[in-house]
Amino acid sequence: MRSNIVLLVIVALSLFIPFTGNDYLIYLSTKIWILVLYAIAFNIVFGYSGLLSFGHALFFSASAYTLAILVVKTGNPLAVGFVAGVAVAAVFSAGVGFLSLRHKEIHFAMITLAFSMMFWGIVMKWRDVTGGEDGIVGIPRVMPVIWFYYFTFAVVLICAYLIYRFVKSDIGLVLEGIRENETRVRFSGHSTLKYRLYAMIVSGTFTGVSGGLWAMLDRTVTPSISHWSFSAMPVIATLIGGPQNFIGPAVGTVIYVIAQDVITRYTLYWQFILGMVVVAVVLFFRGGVMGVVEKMIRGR
Amino acid sequence: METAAIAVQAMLGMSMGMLYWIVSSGLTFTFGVTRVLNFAHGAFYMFGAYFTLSIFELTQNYIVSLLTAAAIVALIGAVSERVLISRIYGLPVPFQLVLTFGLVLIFDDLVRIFWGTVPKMIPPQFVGSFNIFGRSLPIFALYFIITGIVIALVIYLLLSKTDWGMEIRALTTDRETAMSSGLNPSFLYVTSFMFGSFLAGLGGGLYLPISSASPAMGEHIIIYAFIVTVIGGLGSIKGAFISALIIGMVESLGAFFIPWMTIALPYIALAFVLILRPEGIFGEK
Amino acid sequence: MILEAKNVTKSFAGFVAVDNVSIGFEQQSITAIIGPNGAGKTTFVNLCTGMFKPDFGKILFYGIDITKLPPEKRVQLGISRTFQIVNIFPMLTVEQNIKIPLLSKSKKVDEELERLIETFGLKEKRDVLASELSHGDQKILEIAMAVSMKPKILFLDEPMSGVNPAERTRIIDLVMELQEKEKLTVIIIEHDMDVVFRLAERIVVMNRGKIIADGTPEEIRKNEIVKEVYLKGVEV
Repeated sequence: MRSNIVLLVIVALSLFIPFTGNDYLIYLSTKIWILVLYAIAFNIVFGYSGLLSFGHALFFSASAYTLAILVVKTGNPLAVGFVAGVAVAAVFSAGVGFLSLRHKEIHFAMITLAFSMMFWGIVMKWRDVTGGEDGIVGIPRVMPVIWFYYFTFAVVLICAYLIYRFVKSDIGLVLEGIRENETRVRFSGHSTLKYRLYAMIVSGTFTGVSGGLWAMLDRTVTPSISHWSFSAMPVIATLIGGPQNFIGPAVGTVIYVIAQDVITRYTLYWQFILGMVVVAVVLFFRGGVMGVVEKMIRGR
Repeated sequence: METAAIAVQAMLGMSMGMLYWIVSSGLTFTFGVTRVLNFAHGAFYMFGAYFTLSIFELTQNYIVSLLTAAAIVALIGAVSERVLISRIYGLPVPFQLVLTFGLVLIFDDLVRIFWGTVPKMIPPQFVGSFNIFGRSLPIFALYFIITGIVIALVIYLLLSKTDWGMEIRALTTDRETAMSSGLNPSFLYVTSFMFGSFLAGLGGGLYLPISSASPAMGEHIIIYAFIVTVIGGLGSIKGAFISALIIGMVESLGAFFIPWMTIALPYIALAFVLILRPEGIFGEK
Repeated sequence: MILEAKNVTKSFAGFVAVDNVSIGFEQQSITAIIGPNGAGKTTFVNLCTGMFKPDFGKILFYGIDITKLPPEKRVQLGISRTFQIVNIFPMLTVEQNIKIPLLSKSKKVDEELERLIETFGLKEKRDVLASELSHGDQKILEIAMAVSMKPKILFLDEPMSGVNPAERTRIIDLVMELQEKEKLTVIIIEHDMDVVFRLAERIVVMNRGKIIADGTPEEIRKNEIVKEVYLKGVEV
């Protein structure tokens, strides 16, 4: 009950952002919503089936680049580009999942990272198609900035809701079981590989949605969104927010983006600070912000 | 002659493979003993290059700089292990991975703070080349190969002839029995971490004369180390050696025959192995 | 024969846990496997259920070779088990715990979930986190989970350990009821000789990876070797 009220408050506040008239704030908020979806989608694999993927930037950027290429380079309508992008992300997640999910966590992390960086390498080198280091510019504006904010907001809410239904479904229950006690799940007759693959594909698909939104927001795609540092973003955001909680990744993303925005105004060395935060969270606050909040609530 | 060109290309591939081997052996060491995959291993490689650079500016002696730098990196490794890594041994794997990733972020920026973001170079070392069937093979390629073989021998001797080495092997192959037979794990963890980091730093310093020191070099090499390790079999020194050479040669010969695909070759090799033999060449199922 | 092991051997780092064991189990029988700790009982069950693959030998289920099958496939075929150390989902509720195995085999999940919760007397506790149950209840939960998959053969690994006498009776009654109603074959590893002699039609005694005796409770009671190795000092 309590958390529903908090959610409503947040949603209400968010609806008012465009009324501030502050263009930068609207832009930043749109970006935050997109990254929130990215993190929540990521957490399907991490928080719910217990595997750490370092390669989600692959799905994000594959979707964004597909949209950019189809729209800017070959003149397709935006909707086509968007759907194609999401489809590509889904296919890639199935492929990477198939190759990597049979492995233990450590291998999984390395393999997902490797394939993600492979895409980065290709994007950087294949100037003709991807624009290389400069990326692709000129994705047309689909709607006025304020409309796009509400559009993104709506899409993210719908997707978050769909993801919520997924993790609370029977498939989600088995996934939670896998995270808790993989052996037990196998002895309960389920193929853990199959379930993890479902999770991966769902995760990759929604990540693709966030990638497409990003392309439409920035109207540019550059290799930075396929670099491993972009894969690390939802990892860190989820960790800060709390991986065992559905809205943990969302909370962490908001904190991350705002902190980055503020800190980079004062220093070049934002990564250093981020690194320190990460180390501190792993050592002392493994439940993340939501973990701390839950403790406080229980403490009463 | 075509064959001469191919032969030279293969040797170049082998020499790069040796570099991958040196770095991967360090990673295999630290993982095999502590069971923690150190993402920051690439950062240690980077430190090796940068320290070699700075010490070279003082001494103008490459070999001295190289070895001193590697030793400094070994010390950094020791400190990292005692202060941070040792705190995460009991934690679930994702947290371990993220912590070492956090270290990467910190180390990368430290390099930017102290050395700037522009890549730096030292004058080429071991200049000159051999003439092989009318094609030239740079001397540095030979020196990589020799160093790589020396490292392989050193590791082999350490693991088979010293007490330390035998305890390391016991710990890597049969953890439980080893733990209960009275060896001192902390000592082994620190020393293996030092040794692994030394190798990483050495790799960076070796790479410096043929390229440059840049803040991105850590992340570049760690991918190779990961690919080599997965293909070779996590925790297998033999596997690391063989797969490093394979990757080096695949890359090099690939660049010769299908240059437009070079960038993807190591990953294709990885995908190949993952489908056919997921546990790696020498891995355990 | 529902299950047969032929020349099954398993070693761990030089230690032979199961040594060339050959044995068969008839349908609907209740067999107890007893023996000192380290005799290889649990390893044997692990081999039958798919936790490990044997170094040598075969496992046959209704004549089909299942030696290479992973655990989830064996479960689908009808082999189910509980574990020596309670193996459940601690942070999930009782209901969720039973639901997970049900999902793998049942078409009418909700209906059967209700039936199982009723049969095992867990109705009041359905929303309790598994980690908060009493030890005995956890054991019962595990049996419920194992039974939910409509197995043909059920392995129980020390179901009585750590369980108080009142709960013991409950578990024994449950097992006997189930065995009759569902026509289960039951194989139970136990140290509690009371339970063993009450439940089992056949007793297999293991020691150091080998079977040293195999027969009716009466035969085993009188067996000299068994008395020497295991029953010495144990009240039967």
